[in-house]
Amino acid sequence: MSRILAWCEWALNLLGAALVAVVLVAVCAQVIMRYVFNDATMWSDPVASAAMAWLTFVAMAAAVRSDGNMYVRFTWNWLGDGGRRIAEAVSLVLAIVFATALSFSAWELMEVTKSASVEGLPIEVSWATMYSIILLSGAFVIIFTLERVFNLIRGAGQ
Amino acid sequence: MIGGLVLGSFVLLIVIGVPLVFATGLAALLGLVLLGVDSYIVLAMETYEGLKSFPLVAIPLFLLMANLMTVGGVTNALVNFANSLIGHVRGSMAIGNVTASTLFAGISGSCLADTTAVGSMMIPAMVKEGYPPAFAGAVTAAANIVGPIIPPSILMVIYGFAAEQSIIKLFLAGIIPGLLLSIVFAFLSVYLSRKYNYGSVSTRFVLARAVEAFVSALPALVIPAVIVIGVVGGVFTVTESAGAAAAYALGYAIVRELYLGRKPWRDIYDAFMRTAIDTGVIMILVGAAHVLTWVLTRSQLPQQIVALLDGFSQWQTLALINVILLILGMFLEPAPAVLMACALLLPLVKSLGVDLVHFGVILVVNLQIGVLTPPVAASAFVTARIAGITLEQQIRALLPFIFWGLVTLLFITYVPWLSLGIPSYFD
Repeated sequence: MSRILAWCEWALNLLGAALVAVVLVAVCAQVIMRYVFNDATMWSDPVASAAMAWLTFVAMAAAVRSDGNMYVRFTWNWLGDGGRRIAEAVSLVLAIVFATALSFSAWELMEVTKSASVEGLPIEVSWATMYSIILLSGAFVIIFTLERVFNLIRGAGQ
Repeated sequence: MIGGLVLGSFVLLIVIGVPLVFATGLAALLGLVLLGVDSYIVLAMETYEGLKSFPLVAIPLFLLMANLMTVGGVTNALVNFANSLIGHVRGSMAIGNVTASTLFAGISGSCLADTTAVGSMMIPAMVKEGYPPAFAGAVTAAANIVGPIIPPSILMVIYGFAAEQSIIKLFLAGIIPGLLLSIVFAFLSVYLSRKYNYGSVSTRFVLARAVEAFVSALPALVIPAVIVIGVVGGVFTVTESAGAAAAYALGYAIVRELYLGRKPWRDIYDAFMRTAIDTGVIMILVGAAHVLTWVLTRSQLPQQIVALLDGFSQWQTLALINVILLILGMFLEPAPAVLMACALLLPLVKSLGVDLVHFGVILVVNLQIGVLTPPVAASAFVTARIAGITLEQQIRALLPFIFWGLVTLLFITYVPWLSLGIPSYFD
């Protein structure tokens, strides 16, 4: 299971790196089209913005597995091993609560926006498709956090 | 009442160690429940909306540029150039450290990245030259707070987005305050080095060496100039300038590595991957803070703060705002702190008639000083780890730098020209 999740994390990071490249190409294309071909692109703004939004959700989910998201844990220095474990468990459970709420919210949002198209993109994409990354990211946050809860319980049992 | 509860829950969640993104999101969720919104769609929608802004696209591109320039060996070149200029006076390596950090600020705009990059080279070198590790770490940590003040600056981009201010004006506004802080820290470093006889004077000024180091550092030194001149001259938008700088850094890294007979592809892939991770960690806070801002605005908390401080004079309120921002900076990472401060304080600042570009600089300088102060002290933590000392030792050595940083902050706060002089010239 751990190997499958490690592969998922790697795939998310790879997708994140590819989306950074999309952002770079979209922004540079805008400059090149304007100055070299004397033609303003319509698609580069929405593509770059959408790629960054997707990149953010993808990388945030991947960061959950490696505990890479930012936190402030100076209070943990005052706790013993047991206290620290409890604080971590509380923190993980709260992360699952938030990710679940975010996923439900995204699902509702996708239902409402499935017939609306994003303007300015070179191909027709519905807003529901754009928002689907929130649902996907929320699902990965839940899965990765559950893995960490499992590891925490296993560590406490040993 | 609702705003107070939301803010209280946010602080509580942070104190118990919940990652900032979830603390922000959960506090916003509580606010949505208390406000009795009809649909929770707003949670996902406002998070996404907070990210869907073209000016914010500059952030991953600036991060990518810095990561690619590091692949191209720019840290080494900048440190060598700084040392070649002033290697002949006592305390020279300390000034070299400050100078390298100031130059590095021009390509990165992220304090922790700069601290790690410059510190991992300069701290061991300073220790070897006879500087105490705590002092070497303190100089590095203090000098690198200018990263997000001197353009390009990720924090200024976030503030410009939140406060609806021109990002290029904010970039220009940060130049004098950033350089002022660098000069203050350079003088302080020399004063302390001479007073306590730190370091040796092992080199003398050699023009040929300085020129050679300048040529090596030139590819990095042109970047801030290209960004500022390109945007001010109307060639690029800020985001496009970030794209052009990142493309330039990519070309530079490929050409340099191939010229040196090395294959750069793995390092470039790593730079893209690192950029993705850094962007995700920073930007998701922007998205989550966007929802929290939505909640706080509807709870009328900012208006209550304005009413609470009614009757205070402008300078008294600014002093109070500085204290609030310093406390915020002591506990929060600068990126979410910028958004939090905007949500809570912008109505108050507007009611005082303070220029919002000037306030942006005050805000960023405050939060950067906060990076040096406990309990979080992220920069001090990084330098303490590199210097191999305890956090307490590092903080003690940082005290004079924090004190003089605060004195400089007072000047920046009460002398608006320092921030507004350059932008007004380009009006």
